[in-house]
Amino acid sequence: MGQTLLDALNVRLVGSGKKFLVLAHGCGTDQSAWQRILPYFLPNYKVILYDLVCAGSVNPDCFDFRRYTSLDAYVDDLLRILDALGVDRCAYVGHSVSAMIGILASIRRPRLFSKLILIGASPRFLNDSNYHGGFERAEIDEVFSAMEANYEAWVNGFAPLAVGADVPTAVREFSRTLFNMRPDITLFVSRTVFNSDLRGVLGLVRVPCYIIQTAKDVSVPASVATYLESHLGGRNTVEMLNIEGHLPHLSAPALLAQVLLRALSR
Amino acid sequence: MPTSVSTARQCLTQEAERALKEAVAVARRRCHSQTTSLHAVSALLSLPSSPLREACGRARNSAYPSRVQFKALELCLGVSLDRLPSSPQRVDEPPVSNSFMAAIKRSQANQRRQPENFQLYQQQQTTPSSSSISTVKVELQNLILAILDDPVVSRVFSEAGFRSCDVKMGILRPVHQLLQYSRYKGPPMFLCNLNSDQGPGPGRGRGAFSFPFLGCTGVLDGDENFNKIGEILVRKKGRNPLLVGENALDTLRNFLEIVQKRGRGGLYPAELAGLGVICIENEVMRFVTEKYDENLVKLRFEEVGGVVESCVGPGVVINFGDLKVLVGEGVHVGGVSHVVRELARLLELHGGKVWLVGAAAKYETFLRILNRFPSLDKDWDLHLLPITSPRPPMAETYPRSRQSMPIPYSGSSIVYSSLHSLSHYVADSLLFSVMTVQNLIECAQNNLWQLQPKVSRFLLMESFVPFGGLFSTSSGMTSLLDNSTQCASRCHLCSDRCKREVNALLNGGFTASVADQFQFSLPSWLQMDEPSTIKGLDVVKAKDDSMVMSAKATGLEKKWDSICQRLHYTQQLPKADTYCVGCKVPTVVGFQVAEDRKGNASDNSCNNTNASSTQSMKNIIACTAVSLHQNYTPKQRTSSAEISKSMNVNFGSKLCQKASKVEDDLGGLGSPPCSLSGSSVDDGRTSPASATSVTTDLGLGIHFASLSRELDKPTNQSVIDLLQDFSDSSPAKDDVVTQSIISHTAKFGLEDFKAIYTPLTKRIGRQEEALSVISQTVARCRTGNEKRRGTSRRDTWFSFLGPDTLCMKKTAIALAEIIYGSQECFIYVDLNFQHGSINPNTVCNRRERNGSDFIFRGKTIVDYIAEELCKRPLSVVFLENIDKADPLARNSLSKAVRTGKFSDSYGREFGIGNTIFITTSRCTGNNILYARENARYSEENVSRAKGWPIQMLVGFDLGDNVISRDSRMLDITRKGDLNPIPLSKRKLTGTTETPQQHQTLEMAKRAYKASNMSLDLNLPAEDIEISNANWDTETVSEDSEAWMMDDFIGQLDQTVVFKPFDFDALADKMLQKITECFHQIVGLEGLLEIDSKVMEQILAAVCLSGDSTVEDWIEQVLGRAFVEAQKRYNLSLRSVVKLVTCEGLLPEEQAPGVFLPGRIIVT
Repeated sequence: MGQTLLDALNVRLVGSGKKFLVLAHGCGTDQSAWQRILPYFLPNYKVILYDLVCAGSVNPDCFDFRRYTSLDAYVDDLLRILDALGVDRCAYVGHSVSAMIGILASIRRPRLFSKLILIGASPRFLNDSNYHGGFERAEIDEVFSAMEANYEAWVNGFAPLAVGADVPTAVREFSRTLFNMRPDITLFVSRTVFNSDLRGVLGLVRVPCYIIQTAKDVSVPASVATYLESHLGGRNTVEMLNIEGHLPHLSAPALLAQVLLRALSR
Repeated sequence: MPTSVSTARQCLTQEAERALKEAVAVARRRCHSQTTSLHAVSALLSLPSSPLREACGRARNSAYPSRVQFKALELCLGVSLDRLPSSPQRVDEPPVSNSFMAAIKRSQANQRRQPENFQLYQQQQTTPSSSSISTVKVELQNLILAILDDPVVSRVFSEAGFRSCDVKMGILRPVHQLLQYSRYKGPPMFLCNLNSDQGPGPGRGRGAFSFPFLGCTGVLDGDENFNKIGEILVRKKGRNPLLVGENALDTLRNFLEIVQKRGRGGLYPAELAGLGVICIENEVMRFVTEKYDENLVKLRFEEVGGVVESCVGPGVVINFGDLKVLVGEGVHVGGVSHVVRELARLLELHGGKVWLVGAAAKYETFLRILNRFPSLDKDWDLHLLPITSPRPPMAETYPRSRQSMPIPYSGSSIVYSSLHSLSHYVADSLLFSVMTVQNLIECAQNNLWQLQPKVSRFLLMESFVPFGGLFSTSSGMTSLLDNSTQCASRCHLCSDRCKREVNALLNGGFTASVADQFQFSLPSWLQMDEPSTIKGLDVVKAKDDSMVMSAKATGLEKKWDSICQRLHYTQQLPKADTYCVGCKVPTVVGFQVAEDRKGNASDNSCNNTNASSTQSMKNIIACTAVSLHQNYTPKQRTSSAEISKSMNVNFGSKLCQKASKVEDDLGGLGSPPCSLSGSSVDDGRTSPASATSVTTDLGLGIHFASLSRELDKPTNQSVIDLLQDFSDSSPAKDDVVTQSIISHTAKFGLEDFKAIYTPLTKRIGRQEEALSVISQTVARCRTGNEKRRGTSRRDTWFSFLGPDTLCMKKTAIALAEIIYGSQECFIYVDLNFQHGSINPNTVCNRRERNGSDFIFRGKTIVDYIAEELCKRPLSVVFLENIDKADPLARNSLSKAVRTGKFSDSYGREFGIGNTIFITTSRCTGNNILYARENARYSEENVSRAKGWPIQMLVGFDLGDNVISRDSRMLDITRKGDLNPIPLSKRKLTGTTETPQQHQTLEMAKRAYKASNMSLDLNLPAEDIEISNANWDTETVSEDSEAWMMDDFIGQLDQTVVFKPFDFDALADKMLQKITECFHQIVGLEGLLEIDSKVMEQILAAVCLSGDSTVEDWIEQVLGRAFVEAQKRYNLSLRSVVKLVTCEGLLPEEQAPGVFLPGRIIVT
């Protein structure tokens, strides 16, 4: 059972350190997104890499449309992976969706996580009366219909936008992984993500969080980072990176790696 | 390479196979050597029940009678077939042509992506034995569709008045009907996962892949939340769920609604069937907000208690609703506590038969109530359940599968299929799939056709490029495949950039920023060698006159044309990651440079800017190639021919004269990263290198093709010869080249210690001891008799320790110039850049025309170094702050020291056979060497000095404020003897403050004031000697940074310790110069104050460009400013002239050669 799961989600355990470190990728990428950052951690950590079930590198058959209706199912996956690997405590680096997943997982199993590092995290993408999430409902619907109409065109438009910075390799890499996802799954996952709302439960987090936010992120306004900082229940730190884009691990790997190392050592 | 009919047949279904047979028969009848798509069309049209014919019937233009149009089609087809070459002897089964085979492959891939076959395909995927997609049998319909994409075929159709897209639609229409029909046959394909566990049906049998996850067994409504609530309800402890989250209240309501409606059912575990629900939400609200009546509350709760007692099922769920009510504004505290108490009592009384449920939108709400009733969660036995998603409205959340989802596939099926199956395409199928997109504009097509000969050569060589790899990025691919709008926009982009660049050029400010702008957007294969380009431009710029300028502008336009073409139409191929190495095709490398040269029209600059002749060789090739490649006006053409000719001559002479040198360079070229030699056979290479060679071949091939196509001039021939010469000689007949290198470097043999040392000391002017060590080591290492390696390694590794970083850098630059002949051969990397210490605008960094942050965008340091090394294998790599290196860089460097190969973050290795590596660090073992603390000008401050504009302020000395400073003018006595100006006269001094505050003022003071001045005993003058003692003991201890010392520096060839530099002495010298200048112009009246920042700037400039240039600057620029000030303000006895930096302003243009502003702002 555990093994099937590990196989299905391409779980990899690399590195020669003692402490566990989970690198969880966001929506639209897969674990290869960490490739440029990984070497920095190999000497000092046992790094756990896995693919979210929605990633293009996972057999789409694994994606059960009935199960993955909320992020909790993803949390289940994460916790099962960690259990199967016998991890009793780990640091967790999550990007985008995985940041949300990490938050929820740490609520459920606070002892399991020593620290959460949240990159481009947002508890809620839609705007609300007192909350600026960055998206209006109508915009989202438009995005969804664009996705449905022509996925490929959408990918090509969205990838440079998301990467933000002028880093062609990163754009290419992101479009690749994004395009690897089956369009219906992407759409479904996006719906799930945009429907999720973590604002109410942030206070339940006890684990110290380190929030990394880039200066200009198309998906997450900078105010969200401060919101997270003030609402997450643990000890929180915000680090604003003076770079652009939602995917700093693709567009500025060296810089992000330094920040991560610092965050982990803190 | 045509494919045999039998192979092609394997890919086809029976029906399609029959069509193929017919096509082959047609080809045989016509004595053609190959069966092409045209034959297939002919065969298809003649089939008795031809779907193609039917489709044409549907698609035909209603203006003509159908018979006429079909006749036309037949005629056109016949004519096209007649044009095909016939084979000398009759072949029994003319093999299938590449284009036709490509169509088959295309349709195969297409079919694989079609909904109907999706399951089939996935079955194949799960059973490993049949993983190959070649097992997909192409159906006739798909084959026809693919054939119609063939440009030759579509031309025939269009000649006959059919639009092939209409025909395609005609074929697809029945397919659409089929699609709709198939709905009843099988499950919808995109929701196949959903259906897999529901009821009997075709989807059932497919469930061979058992779902590896738990938790989907009890799901009925698809709502995880309800399940979780149920799970909590059946628990023994913490069994009363409190839902937390923005959607919690809705979820709770939905849950209870369903519980009430169904009463029983699979919503929650079986033992809860028959659960009752009591909502006291409204009552609670009333109790706590309006008039609180204890009796009423009691009554209601008794009532509830009665219901619970009398209930028959497993129990009752009491919903107290939103927690917010209990902590809201204006609640009646007594009421709240009463409610809380009553609820707790109910729980207590009725044990397992009562549940409480509630919700809170925010966790904070719960915290607030917990503050008031600290034991609440115990009393109520609550369990917090985070709710993060609303109950999914099924219809909305599931993809609207049948109607909308498949459409993106079928609509863009061609693009889609080609994207996904490219790896299985042979090269020319790629070409044709590219051609299928009808909107590709003319020039793109031309370019592609140019490519074709080369590609077919590929096929002959049977060196299949993994096109999947090349194209593995969809973005690149699609921009290639995309319709004209995108092409147009790109072109627009390019023209825009071009315009900008031209403008910038005309403004005389071809600055880095423009370069940056386009550099980002270019793929890395176009980006390389930027520095030299810029330099080249600058050189050119210096001699600009308007004529040259305009020529250059056209040159730039041409350049952008060609960039645009290459970038957007032709060479999407090289993918930066994997093929980055291979993409460094010299032609592409150099052509920007070449453009510049062309504008300049004087070829003599060709070789002297880039003294590394590797570079210049590239340039020559590139230059000629490019210039031949473009369409010039006659006049230009001749000139370009001249240039190329003269370049050839130039090159030829170079070959003769400096044979050894050139061969040396060939050695450089022969090394994998920069392989021109890649163009010919290199078998013994490692895999990345051989991949490289393929692409390189392609790149070169383009130019061969273009050369042979566009010009047939004598020069042309000679260029080709030249190129071939290269490729002949460059496969690095290893021993020969090595020999030549050895003979070349023998020049730097033992006796040539002086050859290095003399110019080095001349350039640096200090640190003689260190320089002599360096020279010795270089001489030793470059002769190859270094202890730790074999003879083939001539890379040299230095470790510079100590505080004088400016000098280190200068030394490194000087080394580059002396050994490799150019400052261009200097690669500067600050390993400390991530730690936020980068000051892009400092004087010292001005030479790196761009801040490091820009260099490293999107890549790691290692990649940057590798890339630079690849461009300039013969160079000095200067790695500042080695102790701050990240683990990746450490690994890579350690490995490089050990093995002589530098590997980047992708694991590609680069030879460093002729590179000099210099690492610097401020720490030497245990002692971190800082500059003397009491020195007025520390190394740190000077190196941090920014290149601000300098401003001159004129004021009047009212006496008092200056006197008040006297106590701090401690240095004056010590400096008194240094300053030759007699005491009775005005004199320049400097104030000293703590190094942290660099707002120090350099002031000229009246001598009588100086004599007043008290000595500050806190700052002993002996400091210098004391601190000097530290560095004289050149202790290199092992235990500071474990890696740095033990593993790394220990392995290097030589550790050189630099002594700290006495900036104060230098400052005094400069001060004296300035004073002299001031006195000459202004006279001995007046007071001069120099801000320490200005002084630091001046010092930094001295360090970078030497004393004499700065002295000139003082004479000219500063002197001019003094004159101006004198004129304007008529400086008198008590006037104070102040030099300060203006930090607000942007750095102005610099004086040539000096890193100081070319003008001083006088206010």
